[in-house]
Amino acid sequence: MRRLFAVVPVVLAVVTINFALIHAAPGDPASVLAGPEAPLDYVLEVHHRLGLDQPLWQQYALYIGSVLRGDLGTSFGHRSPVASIILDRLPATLLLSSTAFILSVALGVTLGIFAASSRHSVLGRLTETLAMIFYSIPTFFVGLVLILLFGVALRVLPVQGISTVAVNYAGMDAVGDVARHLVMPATALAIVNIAAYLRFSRASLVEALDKPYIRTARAKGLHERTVIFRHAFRNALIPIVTVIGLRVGFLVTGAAVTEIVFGWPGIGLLMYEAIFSRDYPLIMGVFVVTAVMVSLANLAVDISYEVIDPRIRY
Amino acid sequence: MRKLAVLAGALLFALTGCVQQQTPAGQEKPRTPTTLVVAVPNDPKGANPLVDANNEVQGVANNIYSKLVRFDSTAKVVPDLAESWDIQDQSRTFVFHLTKGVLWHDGQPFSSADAKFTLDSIRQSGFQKSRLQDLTSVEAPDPNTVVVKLKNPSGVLLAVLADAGEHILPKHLYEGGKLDENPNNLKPIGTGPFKFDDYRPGQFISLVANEKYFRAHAGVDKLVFRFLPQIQSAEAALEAGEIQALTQWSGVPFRDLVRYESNPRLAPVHWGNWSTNGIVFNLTLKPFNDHRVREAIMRAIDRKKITETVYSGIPRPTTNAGPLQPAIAWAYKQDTLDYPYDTAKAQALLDEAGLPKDSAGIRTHTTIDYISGPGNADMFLLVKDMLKAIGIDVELKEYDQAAWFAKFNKKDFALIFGGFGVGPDPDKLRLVYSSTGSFNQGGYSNPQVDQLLDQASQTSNLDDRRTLYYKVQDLVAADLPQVPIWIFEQAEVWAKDYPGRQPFSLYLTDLANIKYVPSK
Repeated sequence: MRRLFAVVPVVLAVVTINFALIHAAPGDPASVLAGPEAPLDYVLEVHHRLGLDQPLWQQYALYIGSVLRGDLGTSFGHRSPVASIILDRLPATLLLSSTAFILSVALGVTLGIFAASSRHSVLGRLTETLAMIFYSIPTFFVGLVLILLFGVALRVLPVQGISTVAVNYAGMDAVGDVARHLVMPATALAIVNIAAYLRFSRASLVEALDKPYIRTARAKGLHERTVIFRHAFRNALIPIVTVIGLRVGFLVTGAAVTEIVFGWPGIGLLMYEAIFSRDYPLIMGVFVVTAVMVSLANLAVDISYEVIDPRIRY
Repeated sequence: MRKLAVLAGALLFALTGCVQQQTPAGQEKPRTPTTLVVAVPNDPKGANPLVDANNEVQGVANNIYSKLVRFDSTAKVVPDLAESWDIQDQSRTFVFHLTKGVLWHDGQPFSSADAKFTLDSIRQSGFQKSRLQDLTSVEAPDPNTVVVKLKNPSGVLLAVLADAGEHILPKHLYEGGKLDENPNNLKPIGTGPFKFDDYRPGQFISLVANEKYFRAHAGVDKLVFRFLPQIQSAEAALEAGEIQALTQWSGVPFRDLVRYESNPRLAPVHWGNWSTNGIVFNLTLKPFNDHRVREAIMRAIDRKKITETVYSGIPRPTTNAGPLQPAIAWAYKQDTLDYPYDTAKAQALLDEAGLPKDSAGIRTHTTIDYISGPGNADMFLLVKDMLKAIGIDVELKEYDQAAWFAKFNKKDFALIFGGFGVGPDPDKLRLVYSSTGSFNQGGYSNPQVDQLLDQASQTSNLDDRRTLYYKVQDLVAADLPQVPIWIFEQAEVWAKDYPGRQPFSLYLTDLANIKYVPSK
């Protein structure tokens, strides 16, 4: 409980820093809102209407006050409450990032265990090399290659969005349609993370396998699989859980590049649009949500330590 | 190890299972009804078109709403909701006779009360209000007549009413509240060729053909605007057949147009319009307040080389230093003064202007601020080289649109890259070249130009207006407040089985003319 309250100052600090950064960036939301054909006097009117001519400290105080009351304000561009806009786009992001997350944790950790236990074999070394290559490739590049190959050249998968716009699918057809659209973005997002989890779990497990108690377990005549899973892996688990847990917090914004490349209508794409249109309340709203999620994820990781390793107590 | 293989195989199988449900590669599921999917870069977000001048808002609104009058594909004003008009009292009174039997998409009848309500709303809170500030009254004496009265004679009222932000709104849905806070903005009711169907934020807005449209029925049954902010992804979607058109604001790189020429399914189209891309001087700063320096800069820039090297030769370089382009054929003066490429002359002018070269060959330093866009970075690298050759050392700074606007509106620049739309009616020249023009941030002021622009806006006689605009072009070219480099070229790519696209159609106004004609 005590630790739960510690989340509040962290979120406030994040909000303050981001508020300062956004307002320091050049560009006036009013000119974007009014549009390029609008005359200057109209732009200045809009500027006033948005409350942007108030002194900065006043705008900040008003914003913090409303956040503490649970009100994330009204989006400049959408003209509707920020909270409802975010909630509306959240499911798409969660669908994409949790699919990629589950895929990458399952494959990454599994392959990492394999790479660690067969680290002296050719296959083990090959796995590790491939992981290093995929870890270094930027997600947008993977995404574009997938689009060109499977979407444009082979035409087997759709290249943009979450659903086909020209046809109104219903029921199971609609589910299938979304699933087809999910394949490439989830793969693109997962590839880098698979490589990351693979490398990390491999390293953690290798370190555990070098410990003296492993030699003891082998000397006792235990089956290799028991050695790896019952003894080494359990001890390697703490760092792996830490990394996984920390990344849970970024499920909301971590898919941003993928969403932009694939036109996936989630929070990442929302953020991208909001930044270009200088939609301050929306940008701040996403930061608040992310800060809360990351803080809570960290808290969950802390608590899980006590479960995994009874020696750890706070 | 074996278990791992099984697991991997199962996953792969599951994935391919998803894939195989797709129709055979290369074939689109047959679409009934006929649907046209068009890409635009941004989501209009339910904004009201009288209040938001952004391209996507205007483009979508042009298919849902009608105006009193509209521009045709030759930029001439033609009837829309007003089927005819009388100009009386030396162009101080305009009597519009409205088309009879027009219905709103919700079945309510359209009448002059809607037109009066809309024009009054624009005068109060629309972004075009400054262009209607000379109106003294708007009356609706009967359901089919609107009478507009002005203080001074106007030769441009029709052009203003056909321009952006002049869509007629339904009084019964918008009366008594703020335009941009009305929930109908998210499900608009208009009189146009398409009715609102569905809106998914961040994804698309879909419209269906209006069966009761007062002009020719739309050529397709459904029109979808797909929001695709990244040009590479949008091009992939086009090539994969998921969309049928990339519109003029998607920012199709010109070199890709060349590639699409050889694609059997696609037809790229492009046309030069009335906007010029060039460099705006801050005339309050030395040494740019000196005409010789400005002329030297224009003479140092090889405009043809820029369009050929950076833009694959598709847009045309400007042929003179005037503010208008051939797209406004009736007002364009062909033989306006030019300052052709001549580096020797440029050097001589700078010497004359008292800017000698130092030991490193540099006469002066300056900055050029420009907006990100396809080719812009490359263009300015070339410009930087060209100016270096005459001794002007340039620091380049790139900005996104919002940041560019901030610098421009605050007059915080020495040289800034700008492109201004001064059409379809040349009266828009006043926005850029009149002393009080809201896009005149460079500080240009020529009282003669101001007077000529005012005079030209007060007569409907095209010959008189032409004479006056010819003089304006001569004066502006002589003054050289900006260096116009290339003529803005609008580029789109269309699927061949959706013919009908006309050049110059502004903000996607003629999408109702597009038909689906399946190729063999």
